[in-house]
Amino acid sequence: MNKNSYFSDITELFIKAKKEENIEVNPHAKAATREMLSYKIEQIKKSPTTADSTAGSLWNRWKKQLIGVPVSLMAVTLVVFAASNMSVSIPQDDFIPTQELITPIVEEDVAVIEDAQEEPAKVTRKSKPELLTIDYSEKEIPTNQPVITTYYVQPNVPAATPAQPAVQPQETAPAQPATQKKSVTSSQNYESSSRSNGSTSTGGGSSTSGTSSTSTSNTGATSDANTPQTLIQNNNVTQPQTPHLNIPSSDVYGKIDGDFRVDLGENNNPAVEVDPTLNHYRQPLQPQTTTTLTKKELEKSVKLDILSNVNVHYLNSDQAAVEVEENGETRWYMVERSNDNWQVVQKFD
Amino acid sequence: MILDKLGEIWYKDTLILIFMPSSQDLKQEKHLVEEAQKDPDQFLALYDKYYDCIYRYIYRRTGADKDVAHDIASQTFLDALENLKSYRFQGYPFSSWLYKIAHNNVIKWYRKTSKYKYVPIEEAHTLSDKTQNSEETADNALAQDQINAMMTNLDQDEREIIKLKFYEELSNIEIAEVMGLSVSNIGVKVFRTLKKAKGLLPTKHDLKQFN
Repeated sequence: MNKNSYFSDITELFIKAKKEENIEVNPHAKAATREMLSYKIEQIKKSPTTADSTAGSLWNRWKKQLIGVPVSLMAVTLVVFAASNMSVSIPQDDFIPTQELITPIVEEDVAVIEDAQEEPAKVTRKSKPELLTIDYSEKEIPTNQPVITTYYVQPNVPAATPAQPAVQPQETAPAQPATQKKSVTSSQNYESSSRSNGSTSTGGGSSTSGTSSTSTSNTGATSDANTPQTLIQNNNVTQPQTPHLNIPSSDVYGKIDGDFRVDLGENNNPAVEVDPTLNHYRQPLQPQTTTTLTKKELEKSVKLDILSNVNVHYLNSDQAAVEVEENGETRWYMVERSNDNWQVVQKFD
Repeated sequence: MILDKLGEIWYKDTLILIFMPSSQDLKQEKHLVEEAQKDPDQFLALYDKYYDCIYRYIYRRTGADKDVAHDIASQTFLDALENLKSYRFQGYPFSSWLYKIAHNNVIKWYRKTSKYKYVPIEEAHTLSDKTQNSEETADNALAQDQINAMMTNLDQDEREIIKLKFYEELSNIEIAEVMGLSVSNIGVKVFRTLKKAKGLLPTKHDLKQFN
């Protein structure tokens, strides 16, 4: 192929078209434009800004910097002054204080058994001056008053270890090694699991326990088979303690921070029994936010159009047992929250 | 203007020649521009030299409207005079800078009036009143018809390239300066535009329908 002739036909067309075009310039219009440009040139000559003065150009060049620098310095000074006078306040709801901040620690002489050959030395043990005694009675705890209780617990106790009263008030617990003590402040709800009859109640006062050996749930009240059970909400508000949880020791010992689940079983009877000597609750340290399961979400998850009578029993912030009464029948559902979506995990007919 | 052959570029078996004004012309032009920057009165010499080609360029872009073309041309040279001190000679003819200003003013006019029209085929014959022999006139008229029919199927950039390349006879370097593109990009665009135009050319049979 001739390299020079590929576009030759079209280029020739353009040349011919240009000849045909013959655009003429209006000489009057051209002269008028020239006159206008002359007038403009005279104005440019008369304008002082066009003079080639070194001082003028220097001022024009630097005036922006000279004005801008003080203004920017002033702005920076104002920002620094405002920042130094600002105080940051942390909302109480979002702040999870440490134990020491909640309850000031006061040293107190406590006798500790160390060596039989040596006299028991008095060691100072930190205690809470506002320690409250545990009330194992079945009286109702006011719902609007969180119960603050401090317990000394023994961590990592094997499951075979017989159950010991884990919670001992400060005044009557002398025989615990000081090195293994761990003070825990309450204001946390302990929602323990129960292996009884589908009941998941954990009602009771809010108290904390950090030991595996004593991590049995105790709502402080016996539960009735037909009595609806209310649970402690995650917002640290106690509920009336109507049921008791009968928690086998094997399910509870050995787990402090563990996952507590409610095995609903096949029995609809939610009655549980709770060891009245164990009455401490613990809630995983979480921001105190309400994580209630809405009716809409529940309907969507259990695929029921109308839920006439629904009771939600929270195990923790992400798990709940739902008691649904439909057409005279009571059904239980285990629901779990995953990525802010509640889903039915297990259904018990 | 005397053009020097600056070089050759082969693109897909096509020779694209690059022309540039001769170095002597460029030197003279550079001297003229520098004098105009010192003394604005010397700008009128540049005006007399380039007004006609700028006017024709605007005339083609605005769709054969003489009054509009004169107004835009006047505005172009007024803008050039006001910004003459900011012009820096970069080895390109001064006309490239004027074409660029005219190009921008035409775009502003389009945006202002929301108008864009191309010379319809029916009016193509009225553009010429040049006396030629009958055969050459007819041949040129037919070429004009073909070009007009083809141009309606090109986009604005492609029409711009054809007008600058074949009507204003600008080099690829000058076209790159006017359109704000690289020289290599312009070379490729010229090739693609010509290839597309070649495929869009109507036959003589097609043109008879409009006669």
